[in-house]
Amino acid sequence: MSTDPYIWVAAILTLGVFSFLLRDNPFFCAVEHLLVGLSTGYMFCTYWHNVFVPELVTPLWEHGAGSEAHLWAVVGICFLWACKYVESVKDLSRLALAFWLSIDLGLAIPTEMEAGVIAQVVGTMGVSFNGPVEEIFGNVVLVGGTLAALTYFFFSKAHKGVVGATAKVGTWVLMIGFGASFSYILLSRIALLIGRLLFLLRDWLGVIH
Amino acid sequence: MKERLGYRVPFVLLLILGIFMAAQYYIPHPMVQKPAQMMIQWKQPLNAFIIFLALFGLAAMHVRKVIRKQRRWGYSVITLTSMALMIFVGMVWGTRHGTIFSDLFKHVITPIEATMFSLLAFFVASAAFRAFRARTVGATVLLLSAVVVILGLIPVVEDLCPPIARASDFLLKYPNTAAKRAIMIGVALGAISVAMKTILGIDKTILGRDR
Repeated sequence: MSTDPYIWVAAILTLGVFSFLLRDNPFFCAVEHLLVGLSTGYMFCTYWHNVFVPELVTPLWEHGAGSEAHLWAVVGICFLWACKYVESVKDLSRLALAFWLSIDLGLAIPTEMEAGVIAQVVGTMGVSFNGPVEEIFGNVVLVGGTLAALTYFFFSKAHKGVVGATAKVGTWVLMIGFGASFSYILLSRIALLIGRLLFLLRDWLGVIH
Repeated sequence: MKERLGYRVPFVLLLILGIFMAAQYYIPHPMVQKPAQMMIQWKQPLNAFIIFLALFGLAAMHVRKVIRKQRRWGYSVITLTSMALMIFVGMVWGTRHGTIFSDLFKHVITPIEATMFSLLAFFVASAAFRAFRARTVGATVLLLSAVVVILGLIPVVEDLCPPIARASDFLLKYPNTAAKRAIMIGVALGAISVAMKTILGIDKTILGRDR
């Protein structure tokens, strides 16, 4: 059995989470709230040390009156965000929200078009129909499957006749995709479960080696 | 005046800057790129500040719960104490490897998170048992695909039954890619349409207006 206090803490917390398998209980709830608290504290410190200080505080401290003076605008926008908590001026926070959204949404239009649409269409159209029979068949399935699945998502035309049949094939293609994703998720979770059981039996109790 | 500042000015700002940020992608001129890069640079500290505000909101909610002694307030004490502890050790001793902060992450947060996710194995298996009934063609395809891929990912199956491993590879390489591509294209088109609706002011709910 381990004598490392950290191993004991981790083992007790692991048992606390596993206790949920019996039913919801105070031990599990306590561990759950502990995780929320520690995770939010972790997030605060990480953003503070890795983003906020090096990208705002330090540049303003060192070059706030010179080359990095534009960062004062960020300070202003931060103040506008904080207005959300003051009832009399809370409408001002919408200016900050609008600014934040405009950058995100404005950038999303070209980047989604480039990476999500054009790159996928080029990848589908660019497949080769030369080579071994298995590969040619696979590429036919790839192109046909993509078109069929896209037809399923096309709601501007009723799913009847040829469109309906293609959409039906599209659902089968999507089902294969979901089945494959499900398998990966299940196996990854089982791998994690084996890892936790190994931790308890080997690192904590030392009953297996 | 209040109406103008509350809704119209943010919408005008969103319209102008949104179109500018979308257009800058296609205009490599320094006159456009310089302000665009500057605004992208602002985004990171702004994101951090928004997260700080969210954490402040969470802490305030738990403090209220404790002060008013609402139901299950004891758990809020655990959340607040652990949050304060993590912030204290992170701010005083830093976040580098070997500090108490990294030890707490490694020996407390990681085991709890790993166990939480491993619990899902039980629930996913139980959900699969109920959902994977070959009632329709679609459900049968899902069931077969999942079984073949699971078997194909087990190393011993590759030696015992090579056709299953080959079928698993085929499913992952071709129909699975086709499904993922169609979903990606659909998601991208959806994201673009939502972005355009918001920037052009067709969807006003995002800034807190319901019409």
